[in-house]
Amino acid sequence: MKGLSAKTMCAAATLSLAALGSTTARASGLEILNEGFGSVSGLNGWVQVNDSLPPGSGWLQGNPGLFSAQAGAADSYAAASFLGAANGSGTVDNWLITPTLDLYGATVLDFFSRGTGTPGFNDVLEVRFSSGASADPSSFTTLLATLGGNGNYPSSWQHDLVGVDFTGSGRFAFRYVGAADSLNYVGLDTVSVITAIPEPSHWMMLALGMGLLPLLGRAARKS
Amino acid sequence: MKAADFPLRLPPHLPRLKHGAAVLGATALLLGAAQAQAAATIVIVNQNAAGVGFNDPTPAAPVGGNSGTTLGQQRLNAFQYAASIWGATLTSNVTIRIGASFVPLSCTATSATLGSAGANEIWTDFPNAPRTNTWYPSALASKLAGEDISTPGEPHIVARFNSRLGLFADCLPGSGFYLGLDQQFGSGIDLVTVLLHEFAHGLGFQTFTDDATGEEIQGIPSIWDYYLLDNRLNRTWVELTDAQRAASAITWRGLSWNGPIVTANVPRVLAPSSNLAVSGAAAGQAAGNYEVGDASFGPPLANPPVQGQLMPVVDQADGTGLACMPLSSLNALAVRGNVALVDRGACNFTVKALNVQAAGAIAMVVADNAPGDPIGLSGSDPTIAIPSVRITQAAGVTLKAALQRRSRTQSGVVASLGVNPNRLAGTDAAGRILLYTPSELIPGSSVSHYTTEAKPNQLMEPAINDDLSHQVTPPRDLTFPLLQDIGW
Repeated sequence: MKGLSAKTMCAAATLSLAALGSTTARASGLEILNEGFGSVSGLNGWVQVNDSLPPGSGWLQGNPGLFSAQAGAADSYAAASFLGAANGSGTVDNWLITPTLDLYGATVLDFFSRGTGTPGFNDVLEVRFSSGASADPSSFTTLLATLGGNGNYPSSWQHDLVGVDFTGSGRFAFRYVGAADSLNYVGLDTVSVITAIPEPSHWMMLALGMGLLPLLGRAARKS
Repeated sequence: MKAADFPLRLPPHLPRLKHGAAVLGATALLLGAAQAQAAATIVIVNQNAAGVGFNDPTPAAPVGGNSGTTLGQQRLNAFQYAASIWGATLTSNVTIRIGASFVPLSCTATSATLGSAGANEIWTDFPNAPRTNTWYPSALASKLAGEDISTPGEPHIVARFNSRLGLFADCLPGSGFYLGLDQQFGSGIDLVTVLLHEFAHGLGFQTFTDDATGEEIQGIPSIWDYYLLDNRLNRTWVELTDAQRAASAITWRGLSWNGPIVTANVPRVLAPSSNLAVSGAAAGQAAGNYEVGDASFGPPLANPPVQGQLMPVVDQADGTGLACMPLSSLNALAVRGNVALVDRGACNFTVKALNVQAAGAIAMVVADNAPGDPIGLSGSDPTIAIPSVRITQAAGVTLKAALQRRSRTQSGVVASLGVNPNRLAGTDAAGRILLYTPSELIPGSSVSHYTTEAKPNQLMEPAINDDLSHQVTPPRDLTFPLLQDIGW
C-alpha cells in the first residue's frame, strides 16, 4: 500500500472496516493512516519541521543505495541523517509529523524503522504525540517511545507498535535528534495508525456512507 | 623577382607564449651532404649586454650534461642544445637566426612569465609562396623561398626569457630554470623543454590574427588560419568573419586543427580520453558522464575503471572540503574504500591527494572553486598511488546535491574513473586535435596552443608539464607535424 492518495486511503479504510463484519467491529480498529512514503516531498497533510542548529536537510526520500524500503519500491521510505544539521555540523532536531487524525480511544501507531548498522554512531528516533491539530514541536509533550540510543538502533527493518489512548484530534511525530557528530542515517517506513472503532454516534454516521459497499460487492459477485 | 611585397615587423608583444626562452649562441648542425637527412642550421644571436643574461659571469657548477662554468655559458649551452634538436628535425637551406636574451620579466612570489617568443617578421607573396596573400613567419618564408628574405640584420625569431626566475624572493623562489640537458629537472623548470616550445612558436606555431577581435593583420590571413577549423560551423578561420573568429577563440572545444599531417598522427600520439561516469541508485539527475581534467600525478585513468561510491570530504564551515590537513575520523570513515570528492583551494592538489589517500580513498575528484572549463591538476609526487581528476564547479554542485542523501559511509552515488576508448584525449568528434580556447580569452595563450586535454601532455600546450620530454615528433608529440602542415 505504497504512496496512496488521500482518496485511495479512504477507500482502503472503508473496505477494511467492511471486511471486519458487524459482529467483530467493536473489538477491532479502523485504519486511519497508511503511509508508505512513495514520495516524501509529496506527502499529504504531513508536516516537516527542522529545528536543527544550523538547519540542513529535512526528512528525505530514502536512498536505495544504502538499503531498500521495508515494502514497495526500493526508495519508498523516509530517511533522516546527520545532514539534518547543515553540513553535518551542529545539533540535529528533525521532525516528521503526521496529518491531524481523529482518534477514538485505544489507538496503535504501527511503523518500521532501521539504521545502517555502522558502528560508532548513536542514532535516536523519538515517537511523540500531541493532542489537537498543532504541528508545533513544542506541543508534542508526550513521549511514546524512543528507538536507538547507546548505539543500539536496529540495523534491519524493525516493526514497532506504540499505543495511545485518546479521543479527539491528534498528531504523531517522529523526531530524529542528537549531536550531528553522533548521528548517521535512519529510515522510516510503512506507517499506519489504527484507532478503536468509534462510539456509536460516530459509527452510525460512517455506516451510512459505507453500507453501500458491501452491497455492491455482493451484487457484483452474484452477476 | 621581388623578394616579398613587404615584410611586416611584428610588435614586441606579439610573441604568444607564456613561458619564455631566450636564445643565443651559435649553432648547430651543418647541412649534410645527403639531403635526405633532415637538417637546418639554427643560430642563436646573443642580444644581451655585457655582464647579464647569456653574459652573466656568475660561476656555476656543471649540471646534467651542461658543462658551462658560468650562468651565462650554461644558458647558452641549453639554447644551443634545444636549437640542435629543432635543427635535426627541420629542413631548410636558410640558416635560422634566433635573437635571444635573458631579461627581467613579470614575476610574483607564486607566478612568473617564463618567457616569450615568436616570429620577428611575417611575409606574404614572397618567391615560391605556396599561398598568395597569406602571412608566413619569417623562418618558414625563407625556407620556402629558398633564400633568406628577412630584413638584413633582423633575426627570424625573437625570444626572451626571464632572467630573474627562481633567483629572487619575488620571482618564484626555488623554482628556477634547470639548465641541465638530461631532463633530470627535479623541482626546477626544464629550460630545454621551454626552449623547444618557444622556438616552435617562432617557427610558426602561432596565428597572426587577433584572437580577441578576429581581425587579420591588414586583412590578410596567416597560413595557420587555413587549418584552424571552427568545428561547430565546420569552416576554417579564413572562411569566417572577424566576429565568428573571435567567438570561436573562446568556445571551449570549438576549434580544431584540420591539418592532414597532424590528424594522421593523432592516433599514434594521443591516448583514450579520461571520463568520469556517475551512476548508482541515488545518482538521480546527477547520473551521466562528466568531463574531467587529468592529474599530472598519480596513475593515469585507464580501463577497467577505478570505481567506488563518491563521498565528500567536509572540513569547512560552509560545507566544502579542502583536505589540506589529515582527515578527521568522520571524513576518513567517509572516504575509506570510496572515491573522495574534495574542493579546490588553499593547498596543492598533491597535498589533497596524499591526505585522502592516507585516509583510504581509492581515487580523488576535485571540484573547481570557480566557474570555467575542465582543466587538469598540476603537481608531482611519486608517493601518490590513487588516480585524481578535476571537474568543473558546476559539476561539483550537481554531484554534491546528489550526495545529500548519504550516510556516513555510503552515498548510493557511484563514481567510475576510466577512459573512453572511442575518443582520444583532446580531440573533437572527428578525431582532430583541439586547440586551447578557454571560455575566457587568455591573450598570448588562447588559439596558439594545443588543448590542455591532450594525453599525454603535448609540448605545445599553454603550460609546461612535468611529463614532457625533449621529443618534438610522433609517437610522443604533435609539434613537428603541425609545422609540416603549414609548410615545413
